[in-house]
Amino acid sequence: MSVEIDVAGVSKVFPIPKGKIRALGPVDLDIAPGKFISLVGPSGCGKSTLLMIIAGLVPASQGHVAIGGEPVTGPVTDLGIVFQSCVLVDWRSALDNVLLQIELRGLSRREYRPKAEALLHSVGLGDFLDRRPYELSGGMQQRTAFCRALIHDPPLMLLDEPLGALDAMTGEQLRGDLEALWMRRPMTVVLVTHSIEEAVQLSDEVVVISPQPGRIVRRIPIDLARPRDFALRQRPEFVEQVAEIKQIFRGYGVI
Amino acid sequence: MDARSIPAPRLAAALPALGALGGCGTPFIFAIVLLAVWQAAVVLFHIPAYIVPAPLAIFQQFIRNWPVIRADTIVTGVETLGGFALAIAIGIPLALIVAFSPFLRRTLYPLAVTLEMVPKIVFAPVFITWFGFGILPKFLIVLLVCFFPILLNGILGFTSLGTELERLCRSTGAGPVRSFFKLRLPAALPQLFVGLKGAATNATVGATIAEWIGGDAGLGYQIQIASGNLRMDIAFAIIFMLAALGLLVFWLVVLTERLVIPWHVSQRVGGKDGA
Repeated sequence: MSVEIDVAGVSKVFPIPKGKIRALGPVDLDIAPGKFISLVGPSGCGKSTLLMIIAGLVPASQGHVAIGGEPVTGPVTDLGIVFQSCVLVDWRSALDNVLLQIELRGLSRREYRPKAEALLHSVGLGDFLDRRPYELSGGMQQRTAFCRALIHDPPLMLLDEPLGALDAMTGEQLRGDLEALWMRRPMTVVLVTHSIEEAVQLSDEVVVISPQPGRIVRRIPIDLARPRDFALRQRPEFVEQVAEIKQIFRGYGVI
Repeated sequence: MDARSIPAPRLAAALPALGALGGCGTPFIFAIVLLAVWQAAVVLFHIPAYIVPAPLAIFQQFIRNWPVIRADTIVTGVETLGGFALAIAIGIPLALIVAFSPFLRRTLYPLAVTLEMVPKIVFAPVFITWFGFGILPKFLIVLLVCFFPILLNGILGFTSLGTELERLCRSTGAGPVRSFFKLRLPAALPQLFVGLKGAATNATVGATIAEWIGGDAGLGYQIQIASGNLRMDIAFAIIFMLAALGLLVFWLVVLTERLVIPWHVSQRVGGKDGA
């Protein structure tokens, strides 16, 4: 189960004391069902804003978004979101944090409990179901957040720099886990990141966004075999793909 | 190992009771030492009892007047807890309403701040004129001194849900009631308790002021009579009782906090870094 996303002429303008500032767009983007795509751009380019507009959590100043053919007019509920900070709540165990998604949706806790346990097991947290977030490492917390975003089987997952706050080693582990997770279940994924290697490793297509106001500069299909393991990432085709994208940002004077 | 460090474990072995008292024993021992110094100073410098009474004399008066002190402690205690309960019953719902109404935040909130700027003592004669010498004006004064910290921290607490958690909540389609009980209320609790602790320290002050201005019972009333008669020993006995009452109210809040939010960083065993 997965959905297509259609972004048409979307832009975002923020009011500032002296007039307005254009943070994003206009952006046109269509994402085919089941694709894993990344939005890559320098900080402040509006890529996270674009993600929130797709989720219906931030209104667009102009333009339209449609998900699965349905125009987005408010918060889209048929999705899972993971943010940069894990936003787990301290008063609930890892398991109960995953089930928070279910409770907020008014679904049956009892019915979803085995699934929540299985999900946590699948990401190596089987022995940590009863632990509170502050008893977990940063990587474990973010894994729990991924489980919470997946428990209700959404056809769409939106990831707002979910690995950005982790240390390099944990981040690399979670990249592999994320790819495996996505390969097991068909769903559309939009990942916002400022890591070009991460984008190339995970995506079917990398969408390169310019510095503010963010516009789509290039759409680069990544036709490398999966899973994109360590060996593959040493191969010239991977390295060249990363270098090609870096070259674009060099042109903007970003790196 | 340095030779000078040897006596330390030996001392600990010799005083197992001290070791068992642990962190809780230190302030207790400090208080005993302080009282001893006080007693010695009064005796050595021949300070008259109507200026500074000796701790032992105070203790004597405490025992001798215990029936009166106990009765007045109950009066002041009821006023304190009653007013505190009123402040919670009004302050927390009001904080909730103000937190979610931009209109009230521009109208009611500035009014509450202005009220907070007025020394509460001036309301005591006003309330006595309106409501007489009974318990109601006492409740109202305690309510006034407790109200603001509860309101302020309540508003802070109810608006403290981070942007990301709030967005996550909206993406589930949860309605206001469900998101309140599942997220906003538990997230607000630590800040609510900050307010309750602030209010608890004010509560006995309010009750004492109210009795002072227009009471015929209670510790505030008794201390006024004792000072009037230059009975500093009785006055100090009452001061110690007021301190105990204040601590009790504060401790009740701290105990409730420990039971309600054991998960909060302030409550974890061994503090932030664990045991």
